[in-house]
Amino acid sequence: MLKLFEKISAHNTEQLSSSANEQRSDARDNYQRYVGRKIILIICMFALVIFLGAFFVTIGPLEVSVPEVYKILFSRYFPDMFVTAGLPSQVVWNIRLPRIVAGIMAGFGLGICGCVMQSVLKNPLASPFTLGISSGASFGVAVAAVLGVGIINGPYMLVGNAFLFAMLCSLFIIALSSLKGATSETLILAGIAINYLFSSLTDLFQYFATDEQLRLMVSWGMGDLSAFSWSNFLLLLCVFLFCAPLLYLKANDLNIMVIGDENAKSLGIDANKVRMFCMLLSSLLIATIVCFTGTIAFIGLVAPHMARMVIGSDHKYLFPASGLLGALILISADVTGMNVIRPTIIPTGIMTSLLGVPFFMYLILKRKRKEFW
Amino acid sequence: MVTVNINEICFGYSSTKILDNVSVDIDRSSFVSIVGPNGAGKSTLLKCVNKLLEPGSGMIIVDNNNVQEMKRMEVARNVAYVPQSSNRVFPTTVFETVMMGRRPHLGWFSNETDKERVWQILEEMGLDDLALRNFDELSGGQQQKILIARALAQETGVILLDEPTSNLDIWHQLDVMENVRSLVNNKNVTALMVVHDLNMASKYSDRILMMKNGKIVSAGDPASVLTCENIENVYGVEAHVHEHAGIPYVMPLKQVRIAADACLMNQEHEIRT
Repeated sequence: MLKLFEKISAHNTEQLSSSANEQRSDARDNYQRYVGRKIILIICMFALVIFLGAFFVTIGPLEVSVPEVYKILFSRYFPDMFVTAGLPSQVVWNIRLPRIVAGIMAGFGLGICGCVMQSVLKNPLASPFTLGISSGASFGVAVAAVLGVGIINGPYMLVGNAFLFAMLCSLFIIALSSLKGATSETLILAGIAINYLFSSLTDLFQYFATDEQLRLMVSWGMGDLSAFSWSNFLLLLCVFLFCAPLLYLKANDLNIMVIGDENAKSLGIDANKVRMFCMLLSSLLIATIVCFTGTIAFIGLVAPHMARMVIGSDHKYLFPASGLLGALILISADVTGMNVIRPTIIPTGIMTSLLGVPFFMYLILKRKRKEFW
Repeated sequence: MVTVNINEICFGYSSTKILDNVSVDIDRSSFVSIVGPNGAGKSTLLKCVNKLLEPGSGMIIVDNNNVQEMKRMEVARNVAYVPQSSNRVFPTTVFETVMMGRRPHLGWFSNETDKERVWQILEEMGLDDLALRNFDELSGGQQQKILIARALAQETGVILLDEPTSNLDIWHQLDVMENVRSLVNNKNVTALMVVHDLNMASKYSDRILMMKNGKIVSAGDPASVLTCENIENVYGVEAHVHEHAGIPYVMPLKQVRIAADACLMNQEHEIRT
């Protein structure tokens, strides 16, 4: 009996020690799986963006069959092999495709900028909209529309003004953030104040505007991807390719910025420099996007939160995930807006909020408080 | 051999002096505790050592390098800092938190050796099971251990700790102190710790610096610093000092005068009026 007991206890200790070893490798395996899951998730999102982009180009108020759409697209590169009709070709190439490309780029840009701003300001409320950048751009448009005054004349007057005022607002926020003792709450408050200031100024202009001017301002303020055309593509792409990789290289620093300036400094990060650098680059990208697309408020704030819920806070993965989610929301909202009451096209900004808010609410209510945030 | 050499450091804002001509040498692989009443300048001294604050005058030498002339990243490769607590807006996992400590040694991105290093540290400290948990979900004691693990990942010769035990129960206090002690003994780390509990300081440290009003009042081994006179003089508290196995233990009895900061406020008030 005693022997049996001894045997059992020996067996138990053996099991214990082996389970300790297993646990050790378990922790690493779990981690590997965790990282693997994130990478797979990002690849899936990327594939989904491409798939949806390819799908959405085939639907629109004008009935064009799927093979016809792709014939049109390929005929641009192989004009000899495909023959296409004039009107569908115009619609697909000059209306649908630019919208989708603009949607992907704008959504991606708004997503990553929101993510970067939230991290460097350590504030879940930070976004291009709450910092007043979008309303600055709106005001720029109002000035151009009503007074006819712009930094550049001609067809780009609206865009130029929107960019100028968006940048002015961001520079003000950045200058404020470099002041000693400026907390992230101060910045958000200042941003909201700026938001009100420029909204009232825009309202003032709207009050005195003619019907035509009013229509221009309102449609811009709702956020619309239709203003984007191939002639703007190269400019947006250049700014995009300049800002996004540089911001991504800061992923490690952004991880550290979240834990506070003092901690960051003790880990060798010059917190103020990183904040300036990231805010400048993301403002440049935001201003460029916003001046073509108008106010699309929801994505910059919410895409990073959604991404954080599904992928965690490591910016190496959070950064692309925020961008891809932003792109997904924006193109889905846009295509819905285009097709839900044909032939009327509902502005992108409105559809984004209408579709995105319920989805975001669902995520907030569904998640367990402990797991995220 | 001296690792940290603090030389006539003064720090202060326009009217108040927080550090007043502080000089002290700290030996390699020793455990030094800084004690003193609130507002004595303990944390300020610590923050001057890793350049979180820049002293008005004086010089701090760490491993023969002048801290003020080093870049922040260089300082982070030589001196690690364990804050009292670390709250964050967004959650980070334990693994990510410890990985942050590798930042001073990284290029743009982390590689496998860095990850391996983090795993080793987590396993040594028995934290590997927590690797994927969120930092904020953990108890104060676990959080403190993770912050120490982060400092270890920095692979520095000097570790500064700012009141690491003040929010912990006695089991975790001992746990943290044992961890730091074993680092000093086994890894040749020099630990400089601000601590309020005189008995913890006495039990674990090689040397104690006692500060008051920005000055070091007494420095030496625990038995020579923790005396009834020093405690009454610095804290304004009457205390018994018992000895157990060669280590002095302080038992506070009663206050004998108003606290040091109240004293200071009275002085300021007098100056203004």
